[in-house]
Amino acid sequence: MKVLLTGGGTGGHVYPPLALLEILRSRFPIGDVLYVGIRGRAEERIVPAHGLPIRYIDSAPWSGLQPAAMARALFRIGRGVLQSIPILLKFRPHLILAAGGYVSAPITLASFLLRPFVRSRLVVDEQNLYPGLMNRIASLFAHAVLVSFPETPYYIWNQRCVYTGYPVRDVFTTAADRGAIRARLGVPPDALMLLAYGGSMGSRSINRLIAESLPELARCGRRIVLVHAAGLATGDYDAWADTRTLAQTRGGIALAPVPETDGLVGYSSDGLLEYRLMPYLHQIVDYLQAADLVVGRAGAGTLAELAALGKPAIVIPKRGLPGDHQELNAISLAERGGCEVCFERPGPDGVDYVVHREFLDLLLALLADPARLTRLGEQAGQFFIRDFKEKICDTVGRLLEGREVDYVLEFELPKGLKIQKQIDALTAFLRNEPPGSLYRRYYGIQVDTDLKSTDWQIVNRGIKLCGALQRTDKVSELCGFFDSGNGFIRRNVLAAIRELEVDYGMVVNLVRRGLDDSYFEVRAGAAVLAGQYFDQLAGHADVLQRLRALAAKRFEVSDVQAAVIQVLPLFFPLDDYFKMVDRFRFARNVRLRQAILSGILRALAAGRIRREDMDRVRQFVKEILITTSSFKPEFSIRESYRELYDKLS
Amino acid sequence: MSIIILHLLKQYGISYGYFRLFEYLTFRTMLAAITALLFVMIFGHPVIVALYRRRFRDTGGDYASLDASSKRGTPTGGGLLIILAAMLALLLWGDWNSAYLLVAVAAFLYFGLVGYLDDLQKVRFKSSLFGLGQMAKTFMQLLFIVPFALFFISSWNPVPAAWRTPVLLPFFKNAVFEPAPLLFAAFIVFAYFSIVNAVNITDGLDGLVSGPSIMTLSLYGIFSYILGNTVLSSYLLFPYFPGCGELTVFCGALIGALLGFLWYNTYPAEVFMGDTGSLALGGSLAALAFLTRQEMLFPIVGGVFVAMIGSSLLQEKVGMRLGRRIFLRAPIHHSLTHKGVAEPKVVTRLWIISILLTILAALSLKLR
Repeated sequence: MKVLLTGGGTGGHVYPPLALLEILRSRFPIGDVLYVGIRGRAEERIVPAHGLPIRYIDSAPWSGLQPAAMARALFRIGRGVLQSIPILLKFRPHLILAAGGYVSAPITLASFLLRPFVRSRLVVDEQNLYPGLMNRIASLFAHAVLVSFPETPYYIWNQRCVYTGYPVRDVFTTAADRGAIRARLGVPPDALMLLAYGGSMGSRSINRLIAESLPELARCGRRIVLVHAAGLATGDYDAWADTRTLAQTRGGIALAPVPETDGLVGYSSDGLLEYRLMPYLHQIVDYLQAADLVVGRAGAGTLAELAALGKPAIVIPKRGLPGDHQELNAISLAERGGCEVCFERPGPDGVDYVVHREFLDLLLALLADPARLTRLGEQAGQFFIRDFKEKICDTVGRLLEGREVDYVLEFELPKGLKIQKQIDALTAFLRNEPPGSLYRRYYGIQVDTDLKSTDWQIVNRGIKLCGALQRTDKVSELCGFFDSGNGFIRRNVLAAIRELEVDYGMVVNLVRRGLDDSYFEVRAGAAVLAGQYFDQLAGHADVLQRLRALAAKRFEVSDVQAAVIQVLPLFFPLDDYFKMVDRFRFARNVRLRQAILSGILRALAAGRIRREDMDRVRQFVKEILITTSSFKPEFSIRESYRELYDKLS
Repeated sequence: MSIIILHLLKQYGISYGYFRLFEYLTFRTMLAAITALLFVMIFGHPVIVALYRRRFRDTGGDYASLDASSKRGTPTGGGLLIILAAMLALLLWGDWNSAYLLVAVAAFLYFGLVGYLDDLQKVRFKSSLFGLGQMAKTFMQLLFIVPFALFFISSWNPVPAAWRTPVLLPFFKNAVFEPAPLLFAAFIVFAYFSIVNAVNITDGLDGLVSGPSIMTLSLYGIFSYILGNTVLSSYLLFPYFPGCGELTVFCGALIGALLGFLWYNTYPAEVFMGDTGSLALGGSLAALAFLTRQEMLFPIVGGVFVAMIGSSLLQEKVGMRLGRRIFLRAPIHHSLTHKGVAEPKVVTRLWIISILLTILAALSLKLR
């Protein structure tokens, strides 16, 4: 059997097809193998090291480009397709494994075009929860898409997904003697071992976080061994040197080199904390086995390895990756109780960071609660699919023999992610989330970036999120947007302010300006806001004057009239009120008439109508025209269906 | 088919007595309408069930997650019924020798296909293709419209050469002026595209699109009857378009199918027509307008459609620039429901307006 592999750009897209190949080798007689990649990227280094032949084609990344660059990218992808066609015709693979990244686009496209001539099966491998654009396109042509998150099928543009899980290396699935490993690593049995690592290149935010946490960890009174893999030096960030200095200056721990290794070690003054700093862990699996708690990134590979070993972890997803996929991976695992998450936020110097206190509180709470650690580990273990090899081989075998494959047809809808599409659905969802929940924290960080945007639609989103997330700290910023923003922005600022607890001095100002606004939705919003603070506003003659003027205006948008009518009885004495509202009792627009009723109801609830006045109000209300047009239907069959459905589930 | 049988009979010298009724346009139109109507009424329910079971459902929701007063999860793609019924009626009662009929049917089927693909994509891929949804749709529509425009200025057009490109205004007897053919083709592309999408966008409330469509179809049916009739066209001082009368049968079949669809689609709807229906309708209305050369009448007779697309464009394009709403809601029918007018009432009122507009447009038959 001949297999063609493709995918690349970063190591994350190169290792998975190689891992898949190893798994398939165990079951199928695999003859020729060919790797197709791009010159100058990770695959040029990795693939020859594995002893596989590699061919190069042209391709270009796509997302987030200007139209001109997009056209150029399209041209290069087209050239890649033309280059792929002879490769495919000559090699005639039986199986194509594509692991995403823009490298795989030309090959998948070419294989689709050549389908009448080259009978090959296309298998796309998507490890992250949120598939990249190229993988989504490739899925249109694929015979099967291997996914490792149960939510992924929602985002894939076909219904041929197979939930196989992540192909981790064998060392992660073979049983090991944890005690022996710990002894070999020199970790005392009674000590808690913490492992922090941010990948081979290192992660600046994890390194800083760990270095800054050292003093507190030294003070916590437990015996701790902290192993920290800082990462190697790369272009703009020398992880190793930077972390070494930080650990000594901010961490306050003197480091001494360990003989015969490239690592350093240091102790806190009372000797309870042992801090081992290394550039790179060659046997990461041993350290993971030995660790009691892991701090790491949220790539699909890392998460799968943690889950395979059943390790409790605090994951710190890398910000700003395409589709926020690390955040989504982390949220998915955390929702199943398999890990804790600390989100990065954009720093002032352009470097992402995690709030130190937030991380430390979480870390100390976890260290103090062994039961919680065990639970986290167990739940993470349940996330891992043990028989991924059989599943992968079975799927490929069925494809090659032309038999039916068990595609995932009923999949889990991503709870918080589906609603991302519609901001109003999102805010409604966030309002019902408990404070401190995953989604609230995740979007809390989004607010900051959104409000800084220059695109008003994104700012708009940020303003809506401010309201839903109760960001009282953003009030002054919101008021700034009220001064400068367009109609939608002004309207949404008022809506957000309505949800926040705000000092009323600010509200008076907003209400005044809102009622005078040229945009009708702002006027209506200001009237509603006024109603919310009627107690304090009742003394302001100018606000009353404005409300009266709006109610008396001859031509006004009905939305504004309805909003004003609803708050009038809160502000004015009855005689005044009757006079102002009288003309609306027979209005053509049913919503105005309804506004009178709900306004009076509200005034009653607020105790603004005295007992002796009830009779007069009744006389007034009696005359209202209550013929109606609007109604709410109730489809009885749906109601029964739902009732039954709820009972059954 | 009926026409073919009659031809054969005539060829072999068999007299067919009362069956000569089938040669009459009006009779065939009525039969087409009745056939389509009965077809939808009889086969409506099984088709709805089939659509529902194939997950052709609006917004993909399932009933369990929805409240009792919402209509989401209703089967969509009911336009399939309209297409099937109209095609059956036309096969039986249409004269397929007429180039007019062929063009109109081509538009009807092609736009139905585009709409079906769109519905399918919504159902199958759970999202429209990476935001290209709108672009892909536009492209597929233009794939028909541009060739249609070129066809229209070419000599293959069944419309007599003298009447292909001059601009004919309602209430004016003679052509106002004659633009260059390519200029006119560009106008066709623009107008065709607008009409199709206007009808598409109007399909927002239960039964809303059916009423104005039926009215428009009836008027265009009358026009094509007159244009295809020597006596009537010369009496009313219209040009004579030989063969144009077949469009009357087409209109009749569509009216019948729409009425049948309304049987199920009226508030509260058991099925939505989806893009399958609304695009097919829009495509054929636009083709009818051009083939009868009464496209300038469309803003009057299809005033409801024009108001919908106009308000929607203003709200989206201009409103987004200004950063504010221009209408309470857009398209206008949502503005009305927002004001507290119930859905069935909005629909009926817009029908009444459409009837008024149709009467107004019908005046242009005599008042010229």
